Order: sequence, then C-alpha cells, then structure tokens
Amino acid sequence: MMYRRRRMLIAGLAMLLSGPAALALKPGRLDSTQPPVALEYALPPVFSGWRMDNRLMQTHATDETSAAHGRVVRRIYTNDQGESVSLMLTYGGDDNDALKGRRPEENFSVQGMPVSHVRRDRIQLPGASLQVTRVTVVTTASGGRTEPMTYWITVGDRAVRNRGQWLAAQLRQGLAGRSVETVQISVSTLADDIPKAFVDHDRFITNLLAAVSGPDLSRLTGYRPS
Amino acid sequence: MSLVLEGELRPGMSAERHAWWPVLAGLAAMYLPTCVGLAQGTWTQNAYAHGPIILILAVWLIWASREELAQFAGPASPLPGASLFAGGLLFYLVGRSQEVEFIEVASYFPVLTGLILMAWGWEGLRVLKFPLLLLLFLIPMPTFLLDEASLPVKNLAIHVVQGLFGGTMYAVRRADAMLQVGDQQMTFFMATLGLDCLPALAAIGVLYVWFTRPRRATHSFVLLVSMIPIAFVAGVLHTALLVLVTYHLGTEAGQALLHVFAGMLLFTAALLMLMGVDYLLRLAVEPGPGDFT
Repeated sequence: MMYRRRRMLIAGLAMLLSGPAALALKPGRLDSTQPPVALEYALPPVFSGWRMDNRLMQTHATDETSAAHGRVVRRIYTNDQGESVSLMLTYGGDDNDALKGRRPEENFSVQGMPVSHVRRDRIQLPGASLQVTRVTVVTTASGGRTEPMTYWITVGDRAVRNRGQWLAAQLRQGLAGRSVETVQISVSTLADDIPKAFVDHDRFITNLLAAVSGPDLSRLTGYRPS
Repeated sequence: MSLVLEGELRPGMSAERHAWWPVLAGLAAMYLPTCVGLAQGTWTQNAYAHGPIILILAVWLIWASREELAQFAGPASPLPGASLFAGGLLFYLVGRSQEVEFIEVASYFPVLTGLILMAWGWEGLRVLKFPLLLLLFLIPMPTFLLDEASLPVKNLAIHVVQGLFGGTMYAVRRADAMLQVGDQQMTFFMATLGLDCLPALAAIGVLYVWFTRPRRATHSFVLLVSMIPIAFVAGVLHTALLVLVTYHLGTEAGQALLHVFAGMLLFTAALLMLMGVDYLLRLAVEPGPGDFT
C-alpha cells in the first residue's frame, strides 16, 4: 500500500511537469526574431518569357479546401506562344499538420473532381532533382477538361514524398525548435496531351526556380545548395 | 471478498483516497488544456460533436467503479505500468508541443492504462476496460483516413440518390460528384451526404450496445456491424431530404438545413433504425416471454 501511494505521487508529479515541458518544446522558441515567411514575394512575376496574368483564373481547377484553410497564392502565367500555366502555392493552416493536411489529389476528390494517374516522378534541376507527384484532374470549372498537374510538398526546408516523411519532417524540425511551415506548390495546364503537358511543366518549373533566389529556393523546394 | 476483509480495509480508505490527489491534479494539468483545444476546434465539427458526451460518460463510469476498485488487494503491475505511463507522457509531450492533436489526445491511452496497472494491476484494467475504449472515440482521426474510408460510401450514396429520384419530376442528373436538381447544382461534399458524421454514429452504436447489454455476443456483434448500413441509409435519407428542400425552397434553404438540422436528423434516424434492428434481433435470438423487460 505504501509503495502504491509513492508511485501515485511520482506519477502525479511527472504529469504536473509535462505541461511546462511541452511548452518548452514548442517550436519557434529558437528563432522568434525571424520575420514570418512571405512566400508570395519569393515567386517572380516575370521570368524567361512568362508573365503573370490572372484574368484566366476561372478556367482552372481550384483547390477550394486549401484556399479556405491556409494561405494561398494563385497565379496564372502566360507566354507569347499563348500557353498558360496555373500555379498554386499553399502554406500554413491545417496543412501544417501531416495528419490533418490534404494533398491536392485528395482535395480534388473530396470536391468531387475525378483524379487519375497519380504517380511519383523527378524533375532534374541544375545540381539537384526535385521529387514531384503527377496527377490528372478532370476540372468541373471548364466543363470537364483534363488538367494535368505536377506538385511537390516541402516541410521547413525538406521535401517530402509521402505522409510518413511529412510527419517525420514536421516532428523532427519542430522538436529541434524550428517553426515549421508546410508548403505545397502545384503547376497545372489545361491539356489533352498529358505526357506533353508534363514536359511543359518541367520546363516551366525549371525556369521558375532558376529565377528564385537562394534562401527562398531552399524554402520552396527543400533543395539545399551545397 | 468477505465482509471481514472489507471492514479491515475501511479505515485505510480515506488515506487511500488522498493518494489519488497528485494523479488527479496531474491528469487535469495535462488534459484540461487538451479539452479546451478540442472544444475550440474538433468538437465543433459534426464528426466529433459526440466528444464532450463521451468524455463525461467515461469519467462518470470510472468514478462509478471506485468502490469496486477500492476493494482490490490483488498485485499491481508497476513495471509494465510505469513503462506504458512513461511512453504515454512522451507521446503527450510530442503531440502537445508540436500541435499534433491526434498524438496528443491518443496519449491518454498509454497514460491511463499505465496508471491503472501501477495502482491495481491487470484486474483493474479489466474493470475499467469499457471507459478506456470509449475514450478512443475522442481521438480525432487523421483526415486522409476519414476521406479514404468514406469515399466509396459517398460514391455509392450519390448513385442511390440519383436512382431514387430517377424518372420523377425532380429530374436529378449526375455528373461526377455534382447533382443537377432542376436548375440548381449541388456539389457533394462529405457533409452533404452526412458522411462526416460516421465517427459519431459509430460512437452511438457502441454506447447503445453497452447500455442495452444483449445477452449474446453475436447479438452485440450484429448490432455493431449493422451501424455501417444504417449510417449509409441515414446518409441517403439525409441527402434525399436535401434534394427536396433544394428543389422546392432553393439552395440557401438547403444549406441552412445542412448546417442546423443535419446532425440531429441523422442521429435520430440512425438511432431509430438501430432500435429496429435490435427489436428484430431480440425477436429472433431470444424468443420467449419476459425477455423484453
């Protein structure tokens, strides 16, 4: 009986200490002086023949769930050949938690847009390769056209491919004291020739990232220049 | 347990109760903030609206077992108990500091199980197993799991709703997850079909079985399994009603219905159906007079 009382006392003290301990482990305690990330300024409005032109916004698939819960940057880029590319960057909100966040294909199917051909792929960048996911969405916005999409997710300064890596990166960086924001970047075009569309995406993404400066680049791609 | 033994234990019982104050204070320090967090977010969603009721019920069930537990003289299991408890604290620390609600809430399970083992051993765990399992319904499921589980049900429900109204004046047409009702378009989110209520409906099923305590295990099992088609039928009824309201009173009325009454209608319909199944099972499994008391 004595042992039991002592055990209960120790257990109670351990639990009382857990609250403050959790507070001390909260991320962001190490770099609270850093300004909040403003990712919309990291993306150049003009680069290698592409210009921002948001008039065509309505024709593309909108990931409304993300738009409602996180911070979103949506842009349409056009070039002189009359091509247009939809770019969407979401960060923060529910997507910061690997167990609450949704990937684009999950958002589209929740909204009732059929998603097909989900596969993992890589894009070769100068000096690095970017792990991306390819999906094809049938958009209700433009009357059932196919919209191939290439996207990737980074947590802090690390690219993640699946939900396990997402959670691991979130916890590892959070416990190291860094405040972590999850960024999802997707690039899509309205196109019937899907393989060609993905080649176009690769070219667009390579040019876009070439125009992004060093620290922002690592934030957007998880790629750390050596 | 003999009366003599019980008499011997009585004098020590107030001291015994004092031993629990540190633990109760510790549990409150850990999980009251968690409950505040849940109340501000997760519990406001249809899927977890059952949270507070489940919590109160579980606490009450544990409280109600206190006399039974006070009489235990059996061996405690300090080592497995302490390891579970320590692991649970670790989970709590990670979940709470990194704001992963799933891990934070789920940590209750090793923490409580560990405490019970340290105090009363496996015998205590047996007594408290139901409230422990009941609390599982407090854990917010990861979104992707919930989506994945309800997506096939959702597609089937849309087909059934379309079939129900096929050839009627409502002229429901389906395009992927859109229904065209007259000149109104309805997009089918999980909430439209009442599928976001699935976890809450499951909780209701478990509570019903526990309170009615069927005599046979098969009876309980059939009741629990029947919650799946019942949730589905309730979802379809809910959607059909939504289609009717949207057609006659417009999209806004439909949305109002969805937000104000949806949960209540669904739960009432599901509970009535469950009671129906239970009644039929009692007729079939336990015939004879005196069984309906």
